[in-house]
Order: sequence, then C-alpha cells, then structure tokens
Amino acid sequence: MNIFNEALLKIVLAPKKLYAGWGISVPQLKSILTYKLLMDDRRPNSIQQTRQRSNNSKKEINNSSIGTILMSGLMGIFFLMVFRLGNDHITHLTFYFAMFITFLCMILISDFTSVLIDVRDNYIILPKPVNDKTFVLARLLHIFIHICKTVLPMVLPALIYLSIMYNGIAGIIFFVLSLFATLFSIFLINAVYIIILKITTPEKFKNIISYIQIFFAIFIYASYQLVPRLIGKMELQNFEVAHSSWLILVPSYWLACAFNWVFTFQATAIEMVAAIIGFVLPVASIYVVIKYLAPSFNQKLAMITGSEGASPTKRKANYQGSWNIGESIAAKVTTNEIEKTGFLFSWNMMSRSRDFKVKVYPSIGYIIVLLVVMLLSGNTKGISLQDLRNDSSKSVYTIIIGIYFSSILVLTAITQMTYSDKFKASWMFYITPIEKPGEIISGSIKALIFQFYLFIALILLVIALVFVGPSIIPNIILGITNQVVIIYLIVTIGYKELPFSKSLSNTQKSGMFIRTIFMLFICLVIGVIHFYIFRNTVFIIVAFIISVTLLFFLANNLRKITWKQIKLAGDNW
Amino acid sequence: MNTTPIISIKNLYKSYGINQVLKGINLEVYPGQVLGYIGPNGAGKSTTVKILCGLLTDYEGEVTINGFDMKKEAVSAKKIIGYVPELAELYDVLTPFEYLQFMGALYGMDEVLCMDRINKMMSAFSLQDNLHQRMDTFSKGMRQKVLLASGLLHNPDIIILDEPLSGLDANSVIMVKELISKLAKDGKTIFYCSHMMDVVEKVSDRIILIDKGIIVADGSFEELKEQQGNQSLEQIFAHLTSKDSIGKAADDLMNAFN
Repeated sequence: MNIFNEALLKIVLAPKKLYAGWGISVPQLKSILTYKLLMDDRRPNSIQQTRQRSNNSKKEINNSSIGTILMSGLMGIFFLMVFRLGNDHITHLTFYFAMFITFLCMILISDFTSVLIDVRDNYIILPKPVNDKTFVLARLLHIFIHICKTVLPMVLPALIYLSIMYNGIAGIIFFVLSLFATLFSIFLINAVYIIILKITTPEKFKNIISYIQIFFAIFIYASYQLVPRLIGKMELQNFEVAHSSWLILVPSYWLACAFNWVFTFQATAIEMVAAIIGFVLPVASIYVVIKYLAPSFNQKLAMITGSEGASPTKRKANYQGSWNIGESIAAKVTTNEIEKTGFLFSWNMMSRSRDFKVKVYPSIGYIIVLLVVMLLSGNTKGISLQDLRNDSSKSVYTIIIGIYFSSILVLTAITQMTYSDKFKASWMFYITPIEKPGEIISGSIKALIFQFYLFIALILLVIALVFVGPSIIPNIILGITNQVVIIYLIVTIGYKELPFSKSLSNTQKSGMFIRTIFMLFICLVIGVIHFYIFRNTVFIIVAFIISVTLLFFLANNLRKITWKQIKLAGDNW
Repeated sequence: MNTTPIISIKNLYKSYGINQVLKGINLEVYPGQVLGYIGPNGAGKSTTVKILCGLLTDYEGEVTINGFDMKKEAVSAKKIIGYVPELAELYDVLTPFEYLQFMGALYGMDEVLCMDRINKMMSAFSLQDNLHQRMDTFSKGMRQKVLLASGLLHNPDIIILDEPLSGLDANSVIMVKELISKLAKDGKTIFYCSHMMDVVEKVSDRIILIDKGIIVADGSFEELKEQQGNQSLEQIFAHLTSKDSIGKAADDLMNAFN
C-alpha cells in the first residue's frame, strides 16, 4: 500500500468508539478496507493500461492511484474559474460546490457498479460472520477513501487560492466544508441506489442503473456545455446569487452560506438557516443510510447476482421481438448465411449488452447536445428558427461538422463492439468451420450501422430539417454515405476483430493510438472536402458517386478477411 | 475395428513463453473409441484439447483429424468436431435458442433441421420452458446442458468433452453417461477429458494418462490394472503422477491445526 492509502485508512478508522457504538466490528472493518485498497491499487487505471500494453510487458501494477490523483489536481485548477464570477463568497462557493458535487456524483455513478456493487463481495464477505452494518460501512468508507483520492487533489487548488487571497482560516473552513460536500454526494448517490433497490426487482436494477448512468452522463455534459454560455450572458462582475429565494433548495448554496457565516460572522436569517442545513445534513444523511437503508441492502444485493428470478416464465410471446426486427433487416442486407449469422449475433448482443449501451449510448447524447449548442450559440441576439434558416450557410456547416463529429461516436462503438467481459465465449468462432471470418465481421458491422449509426443519422436529419429545411437533404445524404465509408475504413485499418471477442483489460495494441489519430485525420479530410463543396450540387453528386464506389470496394474487401489477418486465437486463452 | 485413426497426433510440442507444456505427445485414436484423457492439474490436458479443436494454432508437430491437417485444412477438420468447453463460457445475454441457432449457422447447418434439433435436444434436457429465456439467469447446470447441446448439434464424428458433467444434477449425469456410450456405439469418437476418475473408469474403453506434458500410461482400464496391480483408477492415477505419498499430504494438512 502506498502512503496515501495508509494515511487515509488511519483517518477513516479514527472514530473507533463511535463505530463500535453503532455495532460495527472495527477489526473486520479494518481488514476489509485494507484488502480492498490493496486490490484497487493493482487495478490499472486508463493511463497505465495503455503503457503496459504498449511495452508488452507483464509488469505488475502498483499504486495506480497516483495517476488518478494527478488528473483530479488538473480538474481542481479548472474549477478556479468560478472565482471570477461575481465578487462575494456566497456566489463563488455556490458555483464551486455545485460543480464539485456534480463532478463527484459523476465519478460515483461511473464507479458504482464496480466499487459499491462489487459482486465478489457476495462470495467473499457475505458467507463470513460479518454483520450488515460493518459491511455497509466498509463499503461507504471504501468509497470515501476512493473519493478522497479524487477530492483532496481537486480541492487543493481552491484551498491554496483561498488561503492566499484571504487567510489560512478561510482555507480550513473551506476544506472542512468540502468534506461535508463529499459526504453529501455519497449520501445522494447511495440513497438513490438503495431506493431503486427497494422499489424494483434485482433483475431490473442493473438495467435501471445503466439507464441512469447514460442519462446522467448526457445531463452533465449538457450542463457543462450550456451553463458557461448562460453565465456568459450575465453581467459577469456584478452577478450575485444572494437574492433569489429558491436558492435555499440548492445544496451548494447551504455550503456557501456556511462558509460565509463562519468566515465573516455575518449572515441574513435565510443564510443562517441554509448554513445550519449545510452543517447538519451531511452528517444526518450518512446516519440515515447506515441506520435505516443499510439493513436490507445486503439481501437485495445478494439477489442481484443470485439465481433468483430464473423462474421458467414462458416468454414465447416476447420472443417475436428484437430477433425478428433484426432478422428482417438481416434478410435484406446480408448476402449469405454466415454474414447473416454475424449480423444477428451482433444485433442481439448490442441491443442487450449493458456494457455496450452504457459506454456507447451517452455519446449519442453528447453529439446532440453539442450540435444544438453550436446552432444556438451562433446567434447571440434573440434566436429564432427563421434567423437560422435565413442564415443557412452557417447552419449547414454546423450540421456538416455534426455529421463528421459523429465519427468519434462510431469509433467508440466499433471499439466497444470488439470487447466483452464474456470474451472467452468467443471460442465458438474458432472451433466452428468458418472459412472467412470476414463474413462475420462484415455482418456485425452492418448490424452496427443499422442499429446504431442509422439512429444517429436519423437524429441528424431531423435536426437538419428543423434548423435548415429540405434544401440540406443532398448534403445530409452525402455526409451519411461518407460516414459509412469512414466506418468501413476504421474497421479495415484498425479493427479487424471478431465481435465481442476481446478482453477489456487486455486491449491496447501497440500503435493503436497513432492509428486512431490517423483515422480521425481521414475523417477530418473528408469533412473539409465536403465543407468546400456543399453549395455545389454537381460536386455533391460526383462526391456521392465516388463515396458509394468506395463503399462497395471496402465492404467487399472486408468480407475477404482471412484467419491470418485476425489476431491469433491463442491470445485469448 | 477400423484401422485408420480418426485423430492422429505426432510429436506435439507446445510452449507458453519459456514454459513447455506439451513435450512430444504421440497419439492415435480410432473411430468409435471412447478415450478418457486424464492427468493432474497443469499436465497439459486442456492444451491438447484446445489444439485438437482449433483454438490454439501455434504448436509444433502434426495434428490430423480424419486426414485433415489441423494447420492447413482446419475448416474441414472443424466440421466433424463437436466441442464442449470446460468452463461455462457463453454469451449469456442470448437465449439458448438464439445461441444454438447461431452455433448451427456457424456450422453451416440447414435452418429447419437446426431448429428441429434444438427443440428436441432442449426438451431432452428438460429446458424446453427456458428456450426463450436469456441465459444470464441460468444455473451452471443449465448452461452446461446448453453447451452439451451446442457440441452435439451438428452431429459431429468426434466429440471433445472437457469436464462435461460439471454442475449437472445426478439424473443428468446418468443421462450423459448413457449418451456417451450410445454415441460410441453409433461410431462416434469421444475424447473425454476429466478429473472424475470414477466416471472415466466407467465410460472410457481406452485411458490416456498424461503428466508434465508426456503420456505416462495408455490402455484400457483392464490393461492398466494388469500393469499397475489390481487398483482403482484413482489409485493408479495417484501412483503414476504423485511423487510424495498423498496420505502424508493429508496428514500434513491435519497437522496444520496443531
């Protein structure tokens, strides 16, 4: 264990008597936490994954937390921009804590399935004589330590800023309040999860969580895009949050008021109330989680992974569903049995794999948000659809940028389609007599296009029609065809892999980064060319013909991929 | 008995990095044989199986299946092999029906025939009610049944079974054992890989014992008994593969309490 972990462990275990009073076994708590932290440190973070694979060495991973710490530090520096907003503490800190809490919640949401709902706990800890309260507190503290590694470096820049601008006391008060904010964030997410567990069946739980994750990710992205623009419209220097009465409902306002009151000893009645809430609530909320929500938590959790719900319901009526939609598309777009099989396989896997949805679908949201923001932000004085239509060249190029931006989504989707945590199940491709694995790959790429990309294309089309009108249709068609060409190019250059056949932890091929850059460069080039010809219908038609020809060539080429061009099966086993 | 071997392995070597797992396996299996392939953990059993069914291709030596070289004509060889893997690894967001249909399609089976067989096989395994249910809620035994069906679906000549009974209930175990002998009577070759000595003893008519990458015993159970003295297969196994006395190891374990 590294020094950060050890120090943090000592801190969280300090109130031993308090824990014991709650009926928690401190020695058990300590050992659970020690080993969880040890395991955390050996799980590679994203930076280390890349480095490890590119060296092709099997170096053991230690101290992966240090990378995370550096990243959060940068984030904290970015947060400092709120101190340029307005000129009183409450305004500064309301915004600061708002960003802080949102960012933390985002981290929590994305880490929760692996940290809070660690399924291995069911096998390792639940059969041992550990009581529910100890178990839940261990989880909470684990998350807390996990978060501290993010929170402390993130808070540090503002802490230093406040200490220099005012004095050390301001720094200390701020620091304590950030811890409160952290507690509150833990409570928020925890309560949401526990409530969902209470009201739904464990089977559906994971699905609901993944939809929340998707929604939340999009929401956060949208707010990051929109909030600064809205702020930009306010009078920057004289802006003050203090006079809106609804603010009493905003958690970050409570904390800001608490800071102001303690630091200046001045507060209005409302600010005092807010400050008191700010102090009491985080502590109370954690107490509520442990006392009332925890006891039923474990049982429910055990059910998530357990075999409950395997009752033999006959789902014959249901069976007609997705398989048949997929099948009717497959019948039209695939040319032989193997390709059709590949299509249907990927179609079903994509529509059902939680992992795939969580990683890919938020990006669709991002692109929509980005596009809308770009279209709206162009005109600062009173936006109306009519204006946009009149000023159509601007809108057209925004739409074109949108189309080529979606290359990034496609790249994500293609990458995700080759991974699966069930990658070992891909033995089936290797033992069956498939002459050309290219047929399977071709089928799954088609499934990706029809299930994933056409959806994006449709959204783009709708946005374009709303903002620009029918005149843009030829450009949209060319753009979408080009994008399909780009999909095939990406696969041909970088991802000649069978669908859902690679392990996530074992992914980065050396040189992949350069290839990714190269692919994005191609998209950029195609996009720029399109941008220069978008007014000229003749050029568009010519470009369209070239694009379609290229598409046929690439699609045919892809189907000819042989086993030799695919990574050796032995890598997987 | 047919004199041309259906599986022929000559001088098979395989290493993972510096760790040599197979050190010259020579083996000929004839049609209709039920071959029990046994050995201690790490002896190279799974590696042999993976090479036989085409999962591992970077080996040295020659492996032919019904005359097809596993390196050059793998596709033809794979057509006549059915494989039931050891761990229940399958894409469990699919339903058994979808999964088996997918497998059938990969083997290039006729769709109608395939559906018919899926229905019959799943009914035989009493899984007809679960046919359209996703496998992520399935127990280990249920998954194993689906895997067994996937290995038999295309009516292969060679069936490679790697611990096929794991997770199955007693009734299914009896059923599978009977199935194995019926398949053998039908002329199928069974390559049976397992740690369960009592089952291997009963189902196989030829037993191969490997240890540290080489074959240390080869023959029917009767022949092995003649060579090694009248012992159970378990005792023969222990005698041939363990240096220290196993009884002592158990004593040592008990002594750990003191």
